[in-house]
Amino acid sequence: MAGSITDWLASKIDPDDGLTIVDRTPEDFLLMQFRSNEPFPVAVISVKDVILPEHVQPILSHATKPQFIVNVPSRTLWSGDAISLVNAAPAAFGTLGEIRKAADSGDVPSYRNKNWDYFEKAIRQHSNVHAVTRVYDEVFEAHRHKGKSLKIALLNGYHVSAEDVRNARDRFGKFDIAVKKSGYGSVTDAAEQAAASMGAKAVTFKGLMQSLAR
Amino acid sequence: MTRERCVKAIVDLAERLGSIQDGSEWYLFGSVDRDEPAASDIDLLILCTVDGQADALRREINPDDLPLPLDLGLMTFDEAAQVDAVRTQRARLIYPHTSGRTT
Repeated sequence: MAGSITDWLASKIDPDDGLTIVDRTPEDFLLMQFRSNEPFPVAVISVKDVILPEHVQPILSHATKPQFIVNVPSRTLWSGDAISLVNAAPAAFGTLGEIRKAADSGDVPSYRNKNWDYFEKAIRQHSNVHAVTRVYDEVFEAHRHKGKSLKIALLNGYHVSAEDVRNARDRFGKFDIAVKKSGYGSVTDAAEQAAASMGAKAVTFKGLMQSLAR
Repeated sequence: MTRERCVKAIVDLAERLGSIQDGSEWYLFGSVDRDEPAASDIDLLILCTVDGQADALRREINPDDLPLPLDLGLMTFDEAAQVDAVRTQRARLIYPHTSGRTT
């Protein structure tokens, strides 16, 4: 990867997608423009394992605030505390592909991943849940009125496989429930067995709601 | 245009991986496969011979090597058959090349 991480990300921007880089700020933020909308600053960071508040605090303390923060590599986890700090700035975070979605929304700093919002709200509104803690971007902890707290990992994929479950365990550590984000598709038998072998469950949204109640 | 660019990058990646992907099948689906202009990520499904191959491919594939963010699904052929994964996701085989089955 020659040059800085910001150079690398800049090289990935395809003007055919409607996004262009119009300038760089003195803080080395990329000033991006989507179609003819107002340009917005994007900060690029490079954290390997987990993004913590101390990784984002310095870039949020500049006079020019980024409206969007991208981390490379994209599979790095965002800690709940770092997410709170970024969103309070206000700013958004996500992958390279999400920059375009955020720009297209017309309000970049308010952009939020719809799937995460949906699940957080659904867990929070469950009648047996009194609080939700964000552990990582795709991991929540539901604190319940009855029963122990449950750590919930969100899984990508139209169909959730055993590998999805094993990969979640590697990335997130121990969890109680792995829930499929997509409303379509299914969880394979092997995925359910893989989760059971870890003392967890692999479920659909309906299964998550049932598990929170018990 | 986006599809062509992404398929080339994925096939190059598969070939670079060498023998660890032997026997696997790589399928593209979703917005990139439909070549939608606003496609924001690559939906790739790889069918694997055994669990160990799926785990090895997860470790070896760097999502940031591709032109767009990668949404990667890995499952064994047995799992795919159980949920009819290829048909239900309207996925198309892109690797290995097989005449009549590719694109």
